[in-house]
Amino acid sequence: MQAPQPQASQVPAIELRGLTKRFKEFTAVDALTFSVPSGSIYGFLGPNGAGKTTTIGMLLGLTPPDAGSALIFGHDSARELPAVLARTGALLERPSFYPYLSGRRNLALLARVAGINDANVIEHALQQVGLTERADATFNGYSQGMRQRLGLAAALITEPDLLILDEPTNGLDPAGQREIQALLREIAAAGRTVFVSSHLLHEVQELCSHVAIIDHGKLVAAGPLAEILASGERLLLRVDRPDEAAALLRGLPAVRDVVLSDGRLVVDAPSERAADLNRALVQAGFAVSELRPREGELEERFLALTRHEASAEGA
Amino acid sequence: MASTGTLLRVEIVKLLRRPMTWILALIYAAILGMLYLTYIVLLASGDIEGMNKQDLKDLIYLPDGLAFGVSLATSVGTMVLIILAAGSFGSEFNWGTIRTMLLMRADRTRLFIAKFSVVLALGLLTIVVGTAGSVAGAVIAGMAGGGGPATSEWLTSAFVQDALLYALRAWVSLAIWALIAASVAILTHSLGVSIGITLAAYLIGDILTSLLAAAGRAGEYASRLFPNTGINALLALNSSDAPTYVTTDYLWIAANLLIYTTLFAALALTRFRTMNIMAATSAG
Repeated sequence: MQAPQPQASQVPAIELRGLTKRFKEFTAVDALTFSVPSGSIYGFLGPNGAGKTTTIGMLLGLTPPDAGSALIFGHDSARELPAVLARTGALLERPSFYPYLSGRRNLALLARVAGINDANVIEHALQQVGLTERADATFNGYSQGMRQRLGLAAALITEPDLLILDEPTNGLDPAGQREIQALLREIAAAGRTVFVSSHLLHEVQELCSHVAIIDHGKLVAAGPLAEILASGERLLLRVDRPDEAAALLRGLPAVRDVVLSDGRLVVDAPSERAADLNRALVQAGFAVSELRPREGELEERFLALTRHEASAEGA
Repeated sequence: MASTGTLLRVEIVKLLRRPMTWILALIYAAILGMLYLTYIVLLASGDIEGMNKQDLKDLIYLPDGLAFGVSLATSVGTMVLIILAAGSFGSEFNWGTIRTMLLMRADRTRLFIAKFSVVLALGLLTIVVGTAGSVAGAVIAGMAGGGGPATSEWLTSAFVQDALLYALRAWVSLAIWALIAASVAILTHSLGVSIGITLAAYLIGDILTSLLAAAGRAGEYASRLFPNTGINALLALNSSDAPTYVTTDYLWIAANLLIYTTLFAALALTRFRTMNIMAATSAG
């Protein structure tokens, strides 16, 4: 008798438990632990060489882990790969196809490997990524953007519950990027999970509901995007004599940091202490013309988190 | 998960659609065709300077010409198949398509079996076409040379039996070189390196083992450690004046061929099953 399968919504789409990969002395992925909720669009961020592609390789059974596990819908990638791939579609960096075959024939060949014999599935995938008109040209003659679209089409032909995408909009023009982003939103709206690695932080901020940030193979932040941005919230302050005001603020116990930006002060302090800061400035004779909380930018949080890790390591 | 049969069909499509396959087939046919055409022209012309025409007839005309024809087909066919076998595996790493295939739920062991089976089938086709072509070439040469032996003189059941045996031995030889090429491609993840190393082992190895064998008893035994010696000893039987082997000869030849086949098959399959595909295709 088969064991009852847990509902998709109860099981995380992806769950990493101490996932580790070493290349001789170098630890590319270091005890990575986080989970991706089903139905989310999850951003996976990190500087170049942070271990993103190695992590994706381990998720897809292409790279054997040295320790820990990567579970997809509860199935271990290292031990239950067929069950993992049955529900997963993936686009890797630099999509790879047979250069002497057309886009359509490449897809047909891959569909046959995946056990799909319905030509309509291929046509639908080509249509979804906007490649129908050039589907009969050989892959060799494709631009980077067209290769990317074909890679996405290949990931979609199995109609997977989870899409793992490594730099999906790489090589696409802004209009193409927006098209693909809209397609990913559509896929997520249909209840499927999208796990996307991208270096385009504004794209991730627009698209994703959750993010994980890694640096030097280690997790530095993970969770709902709103929470990660909130942790980077700042107070924005417009005041006369900003240099002198910054010096005063730096002496206050609630203030962690003050940066002068475009004639305004960006103050790293809890937003509930805004009144205290205002009072201190006014009492010292400064004229405060603006004081409001400013939502953190993902790029700023990303740089702060990865820079912090780098400097801590260097110390 | 795709069955081995499905993967076989996919591999055949890939091979037939690949321009390199047809270029190599053309080169193979052209080399064999040009060689026989040269012999036919020589036999049809008058005297051949510095050459005994009868020696040439003995070499080409059937039934003895069968050994020469199969030997030609084996030599050229081995090089062609080494390139094809290296290409079948090495190109997948160079292009990165091995990742794409595996992501489409292709099981690694089944994929290896399908790929190598297609290479083996192609090896068989190479030898069958080469043997048939050399028989045709010999018949045409006979006609051009003023009448070779009549069909009834050579087209006997013994001739057919010989032709099948010669082809089988040649196929075993091709299969081992193809396995070596495929293994090197898997171990190095490179088409170019695989072709280079395997062709060097095939060509330079023959010279090296001949030199060793000529250096006395110890050298002869040492030469038996190389696959070239085992393969060449097997192919030596493809001759009208084949050497007479005793049981111990058959034993070392069988041991040599079995050890190398098992070694390379195990190396290739184990590596293919466990390798880090992301790292292996990172240059692609």
